[in-house]
Amino acid sequence: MFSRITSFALNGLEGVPVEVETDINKGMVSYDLVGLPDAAVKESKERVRSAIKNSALDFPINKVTINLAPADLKKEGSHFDLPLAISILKASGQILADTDGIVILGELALDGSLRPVSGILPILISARDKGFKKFIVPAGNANEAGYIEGITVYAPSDLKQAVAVIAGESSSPVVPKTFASARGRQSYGYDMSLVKGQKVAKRAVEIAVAGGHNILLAGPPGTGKTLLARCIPTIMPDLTFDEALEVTKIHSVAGELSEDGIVSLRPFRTPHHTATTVSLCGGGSVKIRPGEISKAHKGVLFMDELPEYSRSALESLRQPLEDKVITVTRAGGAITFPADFILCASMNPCPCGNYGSAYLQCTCTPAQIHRYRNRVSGPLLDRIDLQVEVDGVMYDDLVSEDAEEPSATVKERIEKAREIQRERFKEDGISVNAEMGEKHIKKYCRLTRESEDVLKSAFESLRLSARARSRIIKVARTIADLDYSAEISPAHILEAVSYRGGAV
Amino acid sequence: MYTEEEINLIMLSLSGGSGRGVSVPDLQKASDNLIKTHRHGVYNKVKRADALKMLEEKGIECVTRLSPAYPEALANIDSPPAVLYCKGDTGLLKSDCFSVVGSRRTLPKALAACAKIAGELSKVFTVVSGLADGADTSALEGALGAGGKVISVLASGFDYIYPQCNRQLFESVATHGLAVSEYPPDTPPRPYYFPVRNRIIAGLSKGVLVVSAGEKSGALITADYSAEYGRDVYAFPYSAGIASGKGCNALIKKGAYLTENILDIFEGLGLDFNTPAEKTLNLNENESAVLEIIRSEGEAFLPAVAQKLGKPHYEIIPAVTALQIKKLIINLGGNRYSAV
Repeated sequence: MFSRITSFALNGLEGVPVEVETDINKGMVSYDLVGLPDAAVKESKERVRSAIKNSALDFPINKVTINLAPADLKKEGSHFDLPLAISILKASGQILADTDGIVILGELALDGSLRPVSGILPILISARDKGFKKFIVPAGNANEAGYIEGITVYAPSDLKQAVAVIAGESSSPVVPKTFASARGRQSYGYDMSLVKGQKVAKRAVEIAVAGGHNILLAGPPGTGKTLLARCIPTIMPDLTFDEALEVTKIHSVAGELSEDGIVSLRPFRTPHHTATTVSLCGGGSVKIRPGEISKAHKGVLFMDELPEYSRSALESLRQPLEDKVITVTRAGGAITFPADFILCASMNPCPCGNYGSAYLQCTCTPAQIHRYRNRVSGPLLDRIDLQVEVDGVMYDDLVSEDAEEPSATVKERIEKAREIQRERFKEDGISVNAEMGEKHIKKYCRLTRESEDVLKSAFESLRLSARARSRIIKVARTIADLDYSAEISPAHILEAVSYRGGAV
Repeated sequence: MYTEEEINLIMLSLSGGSGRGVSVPDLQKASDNLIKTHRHGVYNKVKRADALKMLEEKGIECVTRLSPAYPEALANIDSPPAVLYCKGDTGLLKSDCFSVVGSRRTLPKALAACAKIAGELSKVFTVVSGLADGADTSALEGALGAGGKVISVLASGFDYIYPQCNRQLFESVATHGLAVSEYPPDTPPRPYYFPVRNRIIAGLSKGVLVVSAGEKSGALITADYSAEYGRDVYAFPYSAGIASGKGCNALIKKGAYLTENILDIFEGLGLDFNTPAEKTLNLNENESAVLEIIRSEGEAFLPAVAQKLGKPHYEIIPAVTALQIKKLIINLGGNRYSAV
């Protein structure tokens, strides 16, 4: 007897259809699995055998040959267990119903129950786009699957139920979910009002988010740099449903989805400074997985103690910061992951951390400070538009009862500034000031004679590098947007100059 | 261009003999004798020619104690160097010199004051200093920036510029002023060369200004030499408890001139200083208000200034930056500012 079941393999963020073909013949008892299965798929044999037996079904005592087509594509992951089992059951005549057009995914436990698997969302979206309408996924993936419109998803909790679904005996599909309800359930747990004092840094963060600029916070240890960074997602505009699906795809492939099944909040990722280049950018020997910068897509990548990261890890950020995507190339092929994030980095002003402190004496020599700061390369710093100093917090600020502005208020201002930018860049294919290239700067950031003079005197007096110019103008444009000003005034330029970095 | 005796001295210096502290008549009479005691190689005529060629190729001019270009002030100290290796304008050795020294770890505010006062001094004097980070760098940059003349005395040969990050500064000193060392070009720096070098800084100068010094700073050694040689010592005052100012305050206790600005130095030397007419600063309302507060507090925290003015802090950021551009205030780090 012969059967054919449809399943999907994952290639980056794209699903690729895979036919599971089973042929049962008379002959020596054997079980052959062909079609480039990886270790996890090969091992499925034992899981499938036990699951079938423990579900009170029969595992055929014949010559079983299974082929995964197309034969030249590597099949990875444990989600082939269920299609394999169904295919065997169908080939051995234990399932008689039609299985055409049903996409089956899921990992089996030895007792026949179904375990959730990673990558369901991107597979379902690809499959829907290819015209598939009916799906069987593990119950644990029901939430994730519920957000996709235009398909029918069944989420059995074990093999027996899956068989029943195919037979049409039990048929209550997953109830579609709404994005709004997920958003209501999730919260950041941080708020700008928790950050006491730090007025200068808060303002800089607001500008950074408004214009999509990357930001570097420099300051002594223990002054709230990390807390401030954690508040950045709370003042970013809410994710739209399409953005959320994009982010969820990446997190689904990485196997990091929460119960809710969708990411409705902007991600905040903090890779440790021992992180390798591959863990940041993505990669892997067989299956190419997204790295931290892709998991931070549409959110914030926070790199604490920037100079402590390895040089190669830091340099690898340069291209994605520019292109907003990362292309990971391996012998098996190249995969492009999105990586559109705001980089927030923090560092101490010097190795001992006390440089510029009002209370503590710095014990570093100028040469040490120079060396410490030089660990971050110029080209990377060029991509960080705002570089600000954080205050050594004053005791008065910590105990003051003055109400600090909540995130919601800041977010309102940012949304208005973003609206202005969207309007401006309608025809340019970009959405925020930070993405402006030289030609956009020429077009949208004309300086008045007065502003040009101020910028010129700043360059001469403060010995700024020529590379700082476009950074300063872009930031000044954002400050003007926050001010609802069509023109970049000298005050906007001067404020932008104050965030140029290298001041200490 | 060098006399036979001078060449003898140079050879002696190149082969490792210092010739320090030997009197001039002795040097002249015994130049042959001196060579005999250091016989390896220095007799050889070919080697002599090679050595002189090497110095010329490196652009090094030697001023020996037998040369008329040798500064008298330096010749009068206890152990004057026998040979000064020079790069730049050797005529500056005979000009009126004033040294400005300090430690590597100097407060940003003191660095700014140091650069300013060095610039003013350079209108009258050649400013003498070392080449270290911190105060030395500020003094040299301040004087060069004001278009003045400088001498930098190194504690190593010219093949080894220390610290490396000041190579560019060294080049501009050699171009616009004079770099001096008593060590042959191939001498790497050694920790014990620095205090010895300080006697040259002190010996060249009419007086010394110590802008910062910890308890054991090398700047104090320069000050001690100056006092020993009968030169005036000036020092910046510091408030109690600042580590980089302890040495300065100790000097003042011992009788150094307390120096707040250029007028204190000129008064001490009995010179007139023509205060340049205060430039019209062209400040707007916001800028003058901010400047006034920072000046009255000495050191001010940006949000605190804003609070005093009753404005959101980001409205005074442009004023603060403008004042920095006009060089009226400096950034101390951590969003604190100080008037210059």
